[in-house]
Amino acid sequence: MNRHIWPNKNFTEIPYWVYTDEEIYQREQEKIFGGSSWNYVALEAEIPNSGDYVRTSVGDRPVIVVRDTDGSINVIANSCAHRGVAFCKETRGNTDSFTCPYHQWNYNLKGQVIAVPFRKGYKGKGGMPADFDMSKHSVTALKVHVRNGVIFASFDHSVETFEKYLGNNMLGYFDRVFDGRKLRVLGYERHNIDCNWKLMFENFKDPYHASLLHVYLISTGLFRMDQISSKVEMDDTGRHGALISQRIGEPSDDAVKEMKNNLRTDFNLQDPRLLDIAKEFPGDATVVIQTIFPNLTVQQQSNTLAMRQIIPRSAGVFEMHWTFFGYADDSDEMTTRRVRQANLMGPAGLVTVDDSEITSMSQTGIRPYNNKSALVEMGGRDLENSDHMITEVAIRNFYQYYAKVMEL
Amino acid sequence: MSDSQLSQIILKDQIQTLYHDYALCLDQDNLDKWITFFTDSCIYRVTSQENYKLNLPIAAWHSEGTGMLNDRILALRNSTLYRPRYFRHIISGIKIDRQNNDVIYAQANVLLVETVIDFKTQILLSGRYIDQIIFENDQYKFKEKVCVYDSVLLPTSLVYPV
Repeated sequence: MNRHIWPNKNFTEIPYWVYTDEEIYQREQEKIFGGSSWNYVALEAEIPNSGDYVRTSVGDRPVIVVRDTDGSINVIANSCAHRGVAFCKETRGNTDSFTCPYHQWNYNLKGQVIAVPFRKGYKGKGGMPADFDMSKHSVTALKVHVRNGVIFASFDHSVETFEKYLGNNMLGYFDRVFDGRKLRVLGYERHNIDCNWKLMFENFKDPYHASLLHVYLISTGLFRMDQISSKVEMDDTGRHGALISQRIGEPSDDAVKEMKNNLRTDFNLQDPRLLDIAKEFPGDATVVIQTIFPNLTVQQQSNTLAMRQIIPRSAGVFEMHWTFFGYADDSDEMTTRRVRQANLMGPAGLVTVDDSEITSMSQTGIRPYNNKSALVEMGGRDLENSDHMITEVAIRNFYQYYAKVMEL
Repeated sequence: MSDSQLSQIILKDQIQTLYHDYALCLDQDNLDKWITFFTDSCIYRVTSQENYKLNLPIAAWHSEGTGMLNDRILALRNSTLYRPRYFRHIISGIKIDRQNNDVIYAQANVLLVETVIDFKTQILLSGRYIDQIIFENDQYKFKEKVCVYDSVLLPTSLVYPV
């Protein structure tokens, strides 16, 4: 790792090798996703009954999220303790135990081995050694925390509490969406994006681009840098962040001048139902994009609510898994609104396509110039919360924390 | 051959022609004409097998009526950033399931092949259309068109209609 030295310690430069080096990628799996972090894995609403399970990943490691017979939730590695087979094939289902199809090792819902065929051999021959102890061969179980219907897991059983991990301010934004009401899953979308996962994670922390790249957002007024109450906030460590904004009014002349290349004032929708937005959260904010380190963005854009889960696959590829949701007590009108507005998001999203394409184009431009660095000086060189959107401060904060965890 | 057999053969030919014209229109990038394949109050959706089987309402693309289709095309032409690309829609196995009053229920396989310039051609999706067709103003039109794609994962972006 000696060849990887961070270029400056105020984090206004991001060395391009963090996006391209497979050694860095492996280190991230160990130090970040496999380390002392809380990773989003599923919503409780996906596994309401005992025995219900879904498959997902923490970093690139496959796991199963399953509701145990006592109602608690277990997260276990989908990798047989015998020879490593990813034994669970179905995306979701209900079961009272898991059996690896290779040699029929059988596991309970906690991931403990409960049966090993031919363990004692056959007619006195073969079998496991006499001192083989099944209790020492469970599949890896992760530490689990559930908050208001959202399930997080950690490979590190000594990780700090989830509440401490988020900090008070970020916990406030989290509870704004997850206020204890029962959730209802509205659908899934998943795509494979040809870039390093961090290019997307920092995109969520970058309000500067939103007013310039996303013509659809600024022309419909859904998100614009000049809007009032716009701000960028972070936790004390800088690893989590939130972009907060409010949809209101026409842009000022000064703002129009800065956005002149992309702002379209003639952008009149034939069917405005896509922008028929109902206020549903306390306070003035109409958009809160919250990133929770290392793998989640909670996206509340108007009435669209989505968990955006990052699953890295290699230095140059990651998957974005979207889980769209509403509340169990939503009216049909509200569900319809959420479904219509979801046209902005996902692999075919009116706004997401811009991001998926630009981050892929970033990877194309970064990969061959490994000795260069990105510049993130917008809004200054500090690491403080910002009461405006013309800033890259949340990206600087993220890399400050990243470099620390990665020991770079 | 009876009259009803003959009219079924003619109908089958007309519906096949509808799908072939539809594919040609998209592959020629004629998106204004594409909208004319739909009734004013149409439903057009592109969704995953997963959502479809679980009966979940979210879709990658969900439009109600030609106004929403127009707005998507407006965005595609004027606001969306994407790398230049070409498409081929391969439609096969067109089958009329049944007719009920004036509605024809039809299905077809679709393979959407995408070539982003500088990159190898890739299959963007393979799936099935589950459609409702009516005859309106001397033209067969889609009253409802739902493309259910097989894969769990889509490549980077689905920028174009299916």
